[in-house]
Amino acid sequence: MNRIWVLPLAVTALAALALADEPVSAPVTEGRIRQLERNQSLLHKLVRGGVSLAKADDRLQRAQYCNDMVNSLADEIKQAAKDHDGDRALELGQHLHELLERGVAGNLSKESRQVPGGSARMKDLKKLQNQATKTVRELETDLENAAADDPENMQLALEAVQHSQVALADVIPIKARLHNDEGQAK
Amino acid sequence: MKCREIKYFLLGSESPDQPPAGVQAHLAVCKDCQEWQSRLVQIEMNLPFLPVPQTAARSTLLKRIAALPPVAGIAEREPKSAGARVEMTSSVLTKSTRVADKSSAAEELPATIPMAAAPRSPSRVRAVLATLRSVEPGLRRFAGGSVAAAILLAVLGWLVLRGPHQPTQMQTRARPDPDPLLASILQRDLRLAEAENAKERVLALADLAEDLSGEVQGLAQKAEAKALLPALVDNYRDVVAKCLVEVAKDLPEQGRNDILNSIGERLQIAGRLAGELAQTNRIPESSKKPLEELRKIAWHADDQLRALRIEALGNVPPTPLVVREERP
Repeated sequence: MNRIWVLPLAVTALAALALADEPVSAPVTEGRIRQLERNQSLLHKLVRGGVSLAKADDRLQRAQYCNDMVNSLADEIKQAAKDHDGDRALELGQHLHELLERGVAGNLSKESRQVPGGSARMKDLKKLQNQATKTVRELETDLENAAADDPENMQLALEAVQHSQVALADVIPIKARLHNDEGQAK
Repeated sequence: MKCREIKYFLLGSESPDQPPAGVQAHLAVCKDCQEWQSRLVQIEMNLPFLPVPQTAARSTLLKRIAALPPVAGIAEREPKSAGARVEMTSSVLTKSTRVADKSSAAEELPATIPMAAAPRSPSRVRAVLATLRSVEPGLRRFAGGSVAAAILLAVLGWLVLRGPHQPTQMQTRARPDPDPLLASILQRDLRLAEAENAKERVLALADLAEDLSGEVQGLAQKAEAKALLPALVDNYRDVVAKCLVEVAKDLPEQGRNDILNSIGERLQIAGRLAGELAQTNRIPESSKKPLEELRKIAWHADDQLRALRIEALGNVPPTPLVVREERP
């Protein structure tokens, strides 16, 4: 009786072994190829960004590389807003939010705890924070204008970008901020 | 107003002796109509005094109704239903049978007559079914067929009006799938941005390399992707040859060989799969060169990692347990 199960089990095991070596990837359709063609430049920038990150020990440097990638994403989102492509704006907006929060703000925040207020490094840190904030504000304006055409997706993309702004605002601790302000007043 | 219309109106009137102003005006000038109205009023007045012939029809009918059994099923199944029996008073019956017999027979009436009250839904269904059963079988089949045909026509009509390929609102707004490779690369980048040591970086780079090699192998089966493959292989080279091996040198002594071994194995598999795919006939010619290129990059990096392991062992010849089996 038990022998009945031997053959199906053997076939299943062989099939599993045969499939185990096959490359695991999404089914390749024409739509998928078009998607990759459109994202080709962005993918290249993100891979290069990753390579740069892997070689960087300095947190400020890593935040800078992340900010470069944020700029690349922001350009693509602006283009998507111009093209009224709300789905793309939302997809990239969520990536941008994550990269800003964990890549830029995360590294700046950790670094700011170890840097004395008023130091040259703190100035660099603040400069980078301002650059990122400026990028986000510009993007916010573009998305607000585009939200009239596609309220749902553009609004969601806008919310993602606005959340990033909140993360950026909290990068530098209050104590260091006060120190910075005093230094600037002098 | 014409005389004919006046007469027609008076015939339908409740009280022809009191016509409205417009009719009165005509009657004042038309002698013929005036006489006609007088006769009509006279007839109306005398009508109630006409004799009615004697008949036993009323009492016979009442006796027959009283002798009838209660409606089958209802009285038994709904004994407590107060509404199941309706009081039918003699006055009601008297009114309904006024023409039949003027001699009072109220004393002959039963106090109540069992009748089905306003039936509940099951009773209504039963009544409908009973009606259907009472219909001739041929006619019943014809009626059933007609109902089925009507339903079929309604469905077909709805499908035609809906249009053959008219998508619904939800289908139109179906959100396209996000790019999985883009999302995956971004996650690797975030790991690299947050990495605290060389080990985390090397592992993130190895995952990134695997994403790219997997995508190349998937795309290799499509001739339309021939422009994409060289670019992805270039990215693979950037990650593996220019970075992974470099960062691997920073790995700490502790656990270094294990990490290098596992990553080397992954590279070897990626190279083998790419090489095997390049040898098959199931992919377009244009894909073979990028796949061969990827195989070379992967195996070369594996060789470099192997060299690092040997270096770590202090130039001691590796034992079979430490170093994996050589590639063919």
